[in-house]
Amino acid sequence: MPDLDLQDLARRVKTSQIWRSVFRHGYQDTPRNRALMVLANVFLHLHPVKIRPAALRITYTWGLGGISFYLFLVLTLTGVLLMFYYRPTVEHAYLDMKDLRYVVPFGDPLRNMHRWAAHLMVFAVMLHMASVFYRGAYKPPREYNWVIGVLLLLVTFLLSFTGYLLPWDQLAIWAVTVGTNMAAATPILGAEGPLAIVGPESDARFLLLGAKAVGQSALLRFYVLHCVLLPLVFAIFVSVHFWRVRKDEFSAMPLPPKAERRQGVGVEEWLRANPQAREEKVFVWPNLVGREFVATLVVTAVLLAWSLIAHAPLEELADPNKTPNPSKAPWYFAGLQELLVYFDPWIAGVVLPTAILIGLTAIPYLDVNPRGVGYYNVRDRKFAVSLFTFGLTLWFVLIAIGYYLRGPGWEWYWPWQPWDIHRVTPQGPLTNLPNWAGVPLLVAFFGACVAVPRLVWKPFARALGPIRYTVTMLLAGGMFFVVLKIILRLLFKVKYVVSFPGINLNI
Amino acid sequence: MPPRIWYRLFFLASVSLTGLFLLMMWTEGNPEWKSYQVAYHRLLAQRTQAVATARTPLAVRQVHLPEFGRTDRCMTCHLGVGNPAMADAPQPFRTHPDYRVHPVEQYGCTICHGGQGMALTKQDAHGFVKHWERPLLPKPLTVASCAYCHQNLVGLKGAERLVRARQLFDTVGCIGCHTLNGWGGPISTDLAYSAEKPLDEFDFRYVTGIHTAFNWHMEHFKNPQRVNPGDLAANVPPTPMPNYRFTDEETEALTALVLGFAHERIPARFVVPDRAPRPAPQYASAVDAGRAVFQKYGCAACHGMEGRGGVKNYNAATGGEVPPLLYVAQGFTRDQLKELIRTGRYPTKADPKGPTVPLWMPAWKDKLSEEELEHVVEYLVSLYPSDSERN
Repeated sequence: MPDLDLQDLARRVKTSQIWRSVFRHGYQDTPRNRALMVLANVFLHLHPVKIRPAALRITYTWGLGGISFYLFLVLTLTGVLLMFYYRPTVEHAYLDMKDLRYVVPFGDPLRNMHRWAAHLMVFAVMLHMASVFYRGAYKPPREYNWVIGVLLLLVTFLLSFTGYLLPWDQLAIWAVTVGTNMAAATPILGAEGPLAIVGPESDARFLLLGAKAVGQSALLRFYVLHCVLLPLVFAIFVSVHFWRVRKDEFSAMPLPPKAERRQGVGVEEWLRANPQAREEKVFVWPNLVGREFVATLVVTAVLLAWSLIAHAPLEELADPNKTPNPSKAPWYFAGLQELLVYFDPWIAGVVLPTAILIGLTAIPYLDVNPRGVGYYNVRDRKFAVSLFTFGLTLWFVLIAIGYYLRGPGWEWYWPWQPWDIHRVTPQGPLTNLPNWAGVPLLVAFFGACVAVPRLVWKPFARALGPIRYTVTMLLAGGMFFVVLKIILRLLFKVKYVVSFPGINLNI
Repeated sequence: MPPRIWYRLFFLASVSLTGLFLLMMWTEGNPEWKSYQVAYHRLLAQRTQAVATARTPLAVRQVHLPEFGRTDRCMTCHLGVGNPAMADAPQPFRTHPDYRVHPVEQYGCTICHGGQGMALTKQDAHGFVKHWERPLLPKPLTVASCAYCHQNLVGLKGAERLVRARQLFDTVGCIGCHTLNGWGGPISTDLAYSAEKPLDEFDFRYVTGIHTAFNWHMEHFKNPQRVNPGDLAANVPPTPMPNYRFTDEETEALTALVLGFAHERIPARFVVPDRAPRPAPQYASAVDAGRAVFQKYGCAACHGMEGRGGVKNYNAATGGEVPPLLYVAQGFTRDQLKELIRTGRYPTKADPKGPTVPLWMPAWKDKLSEEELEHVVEYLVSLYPSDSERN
């Protein structure tokens, strides 16, 4: 037997045409190769070749954007696998869930992982948005990408919401019933909304459901939206999102040494004095790519453990004739559902979500404060940070109340109290403010929201200019009105501030 | 170089991922049912002396029954249901006593026994889990399902309990308050779909045993007021359903009867129609005919057996009871009686601020024929005790 020269064999393989066509440059750890690793790879090419070291600190992004995207990839993969076993018909959908649970090989962890990753993604995207806000990464030149981000948040909600219906159990159809009934309350275009010009056979809910109630056509529509249209829309927007991150540069800014910060040196001033600090950069390969890889491993491990421990919820077979009490919307909409106690559906389900989306979109165009870009800064952004924090807290508190503290009849139950379907807490009579008082009061409230801050913070108002200032104050006023209405309802038993029952317009 | 935490995370995540992956593979490869199948094949090999049987490949077994809308996988563990060699084997391997008449290949299991046929773990399959509404029926109650197909149970072997329950049902006059398949009184719930009532519509606060529909019915038949005591603080009276002091056997029989009230999709070829001849009943006198009317409409439910009264009616001005009928001949003319039965009557409240009186006399004018009315009045008048009885 002739001697096997392994070294020679390796050399031959590595110099072969096939090898070189695939791997192109070697793996020698040289600066050139570090750059090529990113430049010559279509996927890694989403990254720049070099970034500022500040971007690598985990406490800057918490990896939330990347984790959201990774979860999207997990959801795509598990979702495609689920599609092999799932039929979107009312006869089969629920039975297919049971088959996935009991007889499909790895069907149970597969469905669990899809479900838990979906919840995690909604949560991660919300947190990602919050972190971007707090580190001022939406400010110029990144306004456009913030708006894309808001759209991605919306698509994430819609993806999760359309997926909610597919198991076709009681949880699914009633959560979607709650959600789509809100669409019926859309002003003008919803059959039950104010100023309705359409009937239930041609309104916004009908568009979503393909019928007046959740049934086969809704299941098919949601399936197509969930598996085809929305992922496509998401992929397009997320490509733009990444591309803009590349074009606008990653936001992280180097910070002055701790000693100087303690002396009160502002980050912006220090950067102006030390322009070279901005230019200090390190290679993305392996610094960032390695961290990203570890993050995906951690997320995968957490998801897999979660999927092996907890089953994805599956209740009784859907039955349009048996309404569970309570019927709850998916958790991320439970806050809006909680607001149904205080508002008519057209406000809680349509006006407020729209206002929230418009308000979020408007943030980078309303906030002219140049400070606090690329690092966490509360001191110089007191107004913006407190307003956003207030809204974020309100959103999550309402979700917690709606999801955890409401029982049958939407009664208040502490987690340790057993539910009692017969319990009805008498509310006492609720009164409407007379319109002659309510209309001026409403106008006065929003008028004051615009007029008063200008008197207190003159330079602030001047810096914003009249249009930005008015829009900001009206949006903030809308947010505070939600709280005001809750107080009016709970303490003063007021049902409506303004009421025109003839056109279903009650506020 | 990245901080050390990244290396540690990498190490931890890799190790736990490997562990979790192996755990997943192991769980997938070792489901609960496999150990049952191994035990079964070994037992069968022992009994039949056919050594090769012990090496039968393990596989999920199922009966797919599109006609019933069911897929039953129970025989994945209950492998001996159709094998006479396992007649005295321990469960879950024992032969089904009835496998020749109701072969499992044709009927599956869950249509009679309840449970979650699609599931493959004992707990899930037997159905005592959240969100499975119809778990395995306890053995004495399985008889409930006979009524899905057998329209006449009289003389059917094994269904004696249901026949007995049906007699009780007619005697105590359940139909006086409850409706069943469009027949009966308006006072209480419709029994037509009792077996399909969702669990979250039951009030289990006063039920001591497990929270299943059959347990609720058992305890409710035993003592209706204990299971449904009302809530006087909220002005809700206790249930007016009388406590009949049923024996344990009667309670089981009645529970089985009620659990047979379901809307099961039964293919026509399985239905055993009621072909027993029913001659028109002959009565010796108008009074006898009236007694039959009294029973047919369930009057006894409120007015007591033979009109002797004793049924509680919370907050009714008539002493908190439904009036007995023994003395109606004294207080009413025949025409007044007829009019009262025709139009019905709502009792006045003893305490005007107290709860609504639960039982009332419905109007029978659209249900009783003129002839039936004549007979029942004749019967009511005849109830008046003779002098000797009064003393």
